[in-house]
Amino acid sequence: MSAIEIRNLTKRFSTVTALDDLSFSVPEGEIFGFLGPNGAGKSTTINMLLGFTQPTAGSASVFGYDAQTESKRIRERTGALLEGYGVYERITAREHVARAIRVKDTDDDPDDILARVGIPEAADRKAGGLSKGMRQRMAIGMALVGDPDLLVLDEPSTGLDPNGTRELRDVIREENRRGATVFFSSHLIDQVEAVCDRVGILKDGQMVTEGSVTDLRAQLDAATVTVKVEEAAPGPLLGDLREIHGVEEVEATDNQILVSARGGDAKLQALNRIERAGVGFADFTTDDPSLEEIFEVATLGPREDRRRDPAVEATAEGDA
Amino acid sequence: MTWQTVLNDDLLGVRRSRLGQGVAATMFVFTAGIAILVALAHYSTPGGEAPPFDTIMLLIGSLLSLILPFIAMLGSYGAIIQERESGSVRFLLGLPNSRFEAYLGKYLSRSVLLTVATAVGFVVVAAVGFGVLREPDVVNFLLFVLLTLGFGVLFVGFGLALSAALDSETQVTTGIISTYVLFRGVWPVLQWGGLWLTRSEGEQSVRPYPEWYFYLGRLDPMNAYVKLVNVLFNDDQFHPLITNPQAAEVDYLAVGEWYSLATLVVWLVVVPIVGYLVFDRKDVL
Repeated sequence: MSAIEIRNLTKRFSTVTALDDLSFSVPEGEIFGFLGPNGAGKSTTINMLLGFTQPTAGSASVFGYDAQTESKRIRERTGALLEGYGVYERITAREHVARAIRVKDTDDDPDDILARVGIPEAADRKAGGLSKGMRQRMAIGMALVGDPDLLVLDEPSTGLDPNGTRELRDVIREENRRGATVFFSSHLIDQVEAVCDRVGILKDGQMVTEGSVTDLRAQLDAATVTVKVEEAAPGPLLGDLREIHGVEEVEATDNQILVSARGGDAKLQALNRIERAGVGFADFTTDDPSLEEIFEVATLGPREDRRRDPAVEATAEGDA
Repeated sequence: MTWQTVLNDDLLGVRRSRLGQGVAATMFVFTAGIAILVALAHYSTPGGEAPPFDTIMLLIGSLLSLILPFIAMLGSYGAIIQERESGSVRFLLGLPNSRFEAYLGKYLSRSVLLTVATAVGFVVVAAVGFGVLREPDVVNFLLFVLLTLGFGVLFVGFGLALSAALDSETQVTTGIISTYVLFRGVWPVLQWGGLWLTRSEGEQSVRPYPEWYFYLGRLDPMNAYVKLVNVLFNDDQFHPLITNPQAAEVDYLAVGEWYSLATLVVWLVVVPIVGYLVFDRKDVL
């Protein structure tokens, strides 16, 4: 069974369409990365999953429970860390966790939970006086109460330092090993890439790409070969390289030639051509497309398209 | 049931907040404070006769009719909107609390805050009333306490309903001020406007007033409360805060105590229910 099932979900706020006929599902036991630029509709999706807002059309369900009519049942089995939460200023960290324990009616120990998220010393401090990172750890702790079957984490690394981010990844993996499905929403690609089995990329309220990170890499496949040379590459060489089947893009600086190509054959031919050209071949590196590039292509379109259309590029920069 | 958790958690936060402490202190001042002043005045004038119990209770009741609605709404207006504005609603409703449980817990918490503060004040009032004042009446006093607690909770309902139904703290603040102005200022204007529209010139204020004038007037919960306090402690004689029926008007059903009591019960029940129904359907984020 799917942990999360979203069908034709649409949400309109007066004039803005936040989600446009969105459909996807997350199988039980998976760590799903929900990616998208700011304003893509990630939090709107989560708010509807947990019953904070009602869909304009379509439906969302979690473990078979309808998000509109059986929201409480969903939240009984879910631990949620939601972006934009605010703490109860006058309530201590321990009381926050204890609150979650009482509502969920579990036998967790608040101090154990606070220790697990690395802030045992903050237990008796009022949340209003905690640093951003400590609040975030406390909120993560609250989400872990009751060993939920689903963890919904919306931008969970907000406010965390690099150690906190690494510990968060460990917690996510531990929870997943225990059997929890993890729905991880973020605009930080490296965070998602590090832990997720599968990702979906949301843009303007629509899922533009969905699949495992490996599959998505294969789809894109264009890798860049960076060749170090001793002399500037002459124009005819660059022309030759562009002629090679599979080569998409060639750029050169004084001592570098960058070739974007699909498939190993094209890359090898390009390397041979450069070597024979006598420009002082020194070394080369290749990079596989990172999730970041996948993200970039999915949300902004292929690079060459953007280059041809300056308007698109201008918009992209404006968003960044 | 998780409404108990919401109730306890909210009370804890309220107890630690300045607003919660302020509400409690203000209620104490307007009940116990007055009683203490009366007692001090009495003991500082040796040989003087203690004032009558009924007079002081009428004074306290009349003051409360003006003050209590505002204090009650102040104590409850933030219950939900402040959680939405601070973002803590993501905990309140991200945890498995249903909207109903959250709303009920908040309603009870804010009602407890006001009720306890009022009741503590009334303990002092009782000490002075039965220890110092002339001709105290236990039954009327207990009825007065019940009536006043109900009157306070009625306005907790207004504050909470507005807090749950509107979308910003500014709106809710405007809402509670408007509610107060409606019952204290606009209501008499409506009554006079009605007379002005339905009667010919020069006869607008001729008694007896039509029956609807009282049906409308006593539908105002503040008027209804004053009417009942006036019955308890003033034998339903003249009271400056309400229109006092004259001659044939005294036979209208609307000027009787049961109409006023029914009015209070209806407001007490309907307002929080309407607030909940709006809250239950709305997007809170």
